[in-house]
Amino acid sequence: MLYFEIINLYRQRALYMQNIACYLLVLIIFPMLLPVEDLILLPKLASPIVWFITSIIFIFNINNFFSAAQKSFLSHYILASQSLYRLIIHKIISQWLFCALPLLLCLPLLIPLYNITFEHVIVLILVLAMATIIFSIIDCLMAIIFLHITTNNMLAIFIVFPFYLPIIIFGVGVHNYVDLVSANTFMLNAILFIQLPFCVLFGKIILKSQYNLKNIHNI
Amino acid sequence: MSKRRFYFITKYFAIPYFFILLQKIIPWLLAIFWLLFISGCIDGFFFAPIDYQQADAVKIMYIHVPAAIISLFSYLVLFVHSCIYIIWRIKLALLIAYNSAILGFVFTALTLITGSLWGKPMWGTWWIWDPRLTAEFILLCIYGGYIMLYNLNNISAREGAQYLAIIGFVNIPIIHYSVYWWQSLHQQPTLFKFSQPSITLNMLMPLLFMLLAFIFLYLSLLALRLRNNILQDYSEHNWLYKNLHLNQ
Repeated sequence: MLYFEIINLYRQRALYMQNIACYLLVLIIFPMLLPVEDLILLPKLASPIVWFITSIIFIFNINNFFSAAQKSFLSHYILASQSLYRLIIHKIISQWLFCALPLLLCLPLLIPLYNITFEHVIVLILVLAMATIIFSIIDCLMAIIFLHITTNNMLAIFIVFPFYLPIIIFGVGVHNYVDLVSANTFMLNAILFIQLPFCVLFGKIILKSQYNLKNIHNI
Repeated sequence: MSKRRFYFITKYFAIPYFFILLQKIIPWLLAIFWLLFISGCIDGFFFAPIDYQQADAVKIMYIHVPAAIISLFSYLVLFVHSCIYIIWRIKLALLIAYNSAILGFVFTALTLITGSLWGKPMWGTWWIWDPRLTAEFILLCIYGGYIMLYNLNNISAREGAQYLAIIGFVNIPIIHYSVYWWQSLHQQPTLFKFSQPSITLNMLMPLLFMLLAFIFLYLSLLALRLRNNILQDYSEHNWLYKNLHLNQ
């Protein structure tokens, strides 16, 4: 099942390549926009910029969770009485692999571009890895809510971004190895471990209900 | 037996019965609101003592605290009616949830604006990403998202909006306990705590008056909005004209 999900996303790889291109462009162009006397601020700005772009990319990624081709696949899946829990977990894993992992792998670029230490990058990768899983979970739940709605991205930003805010606030607070055992990281862990079962349970209920609505009202 | 047990629910949610109830209670709600509001304003703004540190700025409390409590209370109403709609598919619950969200949005915005006005002289800043303030801002966004989603005029979007309201309920305990859980610039609760209120009686009385006034304001606005919605949606129905003592 996970294999098919990955194959499916691989077919839409252009969308994810676009994300990576946008991410790299912002990372590369931003230092050029700063005046020379402010370049000393770059190491401090690196982390907030990365968090900001990552969250924006994840918000715009919501529409890719259940694309048009996958919606028909979904009805086959429900009719075959397959486990919806498994479907949701596989969606989260595959989306994370395609959307978050490439962004994390690009992070070492920050060392020459933003003049930050290797330690800082490692910490950033670890915290972002955790946070992007939480973003994927939130995205999955919201994608299920938007299943039969042709949303515009403005609405998605308005609805999803508030749920991202606490994660961004906790995440930006982690700067070094010492911070990795601080309250911020524990809060991120707690959110992740509470959210995952909740999302899977609740996601299944909403998915079933949205599917039934589609059949009743022929949306 | 089970039908009898839930009879009051079906009666409460029957729109003709509810419309008659609204017609009867709206004047009373408005009268009680004005009575409480005028006495609260007179007591709070003219007779209540000023704070030794905050001076006259403390008077913003008589608007800010009730608005903040109502912003949470309206979310509770939204949450309960969203659950009722999801479980029993009662249309009136959907109407109550939507109107409660609109009022909640207004009261949350009022809370943030008055809080900002209070924050400038006390903390030296209009806004800070403090846990309490951030959580309240998230509440505003959830209300906004709910309203936008509901207004897409698609049955699936309305259903989604109810689920969003249920998911967003997780924010309510966070708002209340944020001042205990994190280092916050915002002060800890004065009224809603297990020990005695940490405020002098001279200030507590007008605050309670204003709180009750805001509760009645919320209820009367909700009732007025619901009555208007019912008048719009059921303008073709005979029972409506009969209750308005008009001929169709």
